[in-house]
Amino acid sequence: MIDIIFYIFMSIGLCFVFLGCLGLLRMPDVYCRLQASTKCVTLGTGSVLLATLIKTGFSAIGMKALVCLVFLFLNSPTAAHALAKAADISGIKVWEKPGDEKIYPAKPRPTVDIDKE
Amino acid sequence: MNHLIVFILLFGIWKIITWSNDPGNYITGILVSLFIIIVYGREFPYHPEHTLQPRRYLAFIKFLFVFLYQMIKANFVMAYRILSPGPPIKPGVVKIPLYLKSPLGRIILANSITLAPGTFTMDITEDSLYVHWIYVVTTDPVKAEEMICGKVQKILKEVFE
Repeated sequence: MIDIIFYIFMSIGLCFVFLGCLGLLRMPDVYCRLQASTKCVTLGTGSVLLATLIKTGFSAIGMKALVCLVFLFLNSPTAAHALAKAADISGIKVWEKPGDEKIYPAKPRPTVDIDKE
Repeated sequence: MNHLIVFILLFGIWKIITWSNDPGNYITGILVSLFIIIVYGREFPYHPEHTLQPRRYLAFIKFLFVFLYQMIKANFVMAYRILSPGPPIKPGVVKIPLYLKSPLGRIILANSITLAPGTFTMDITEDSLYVHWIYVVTTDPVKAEEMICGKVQKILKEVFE
């Protein structure tokens, strides 16, 4: 029984990690790619870690997987945010779909001069 | 008080990571935690008295459920966007108001927006968040806040303020 649950979670995790990688290839610009990779890879890796926890039970390995899970949820968005902000500061524009250029609302924040900060 | 909270947190994490009942393990954990709180103890919890109020924990559990639901939904929405031909996206940056003041609360809000369906935090200023939205529905800050955050900001206000 535990084995079946383990395989289910593992397969879900691997599927989502694969989707995250596919998203990296399919999305048009850096921000959308970050969206795809952050979301899918978070649930994918989380699911793999959860599978490890189920398989090994509450042992030293299982508890480490649990701690990794918590840190993953804290770290992965922070890393994405750092990458996005760096891309923004270095002047990468948000991709616009050809045809509807008018949707672009909020001007991105004023560009920061890196040398000054 | 501050030191005690940080000590309990550090020692708890140590015990969970090592997960053994060896007496040497306890001693090492206590010594290392003591060393860390001597150096960094004053920097952590901004309002130590808040940790004794149970309603904050209840609100936090509520937040966890909302967050988990949003995260799982986000993944399926993202999977749909990735797999459909000619990705159905209309990306843009919107500005939404931020009325949460506590720094920890702001971090958690920004992180939960990043894991919510179709949005992620690009930048944060004193009173607003710049959010990259993969399918822009509205550019009005208040409506966008309602659609992106939902109840999350209110719940976090209960937890941290």
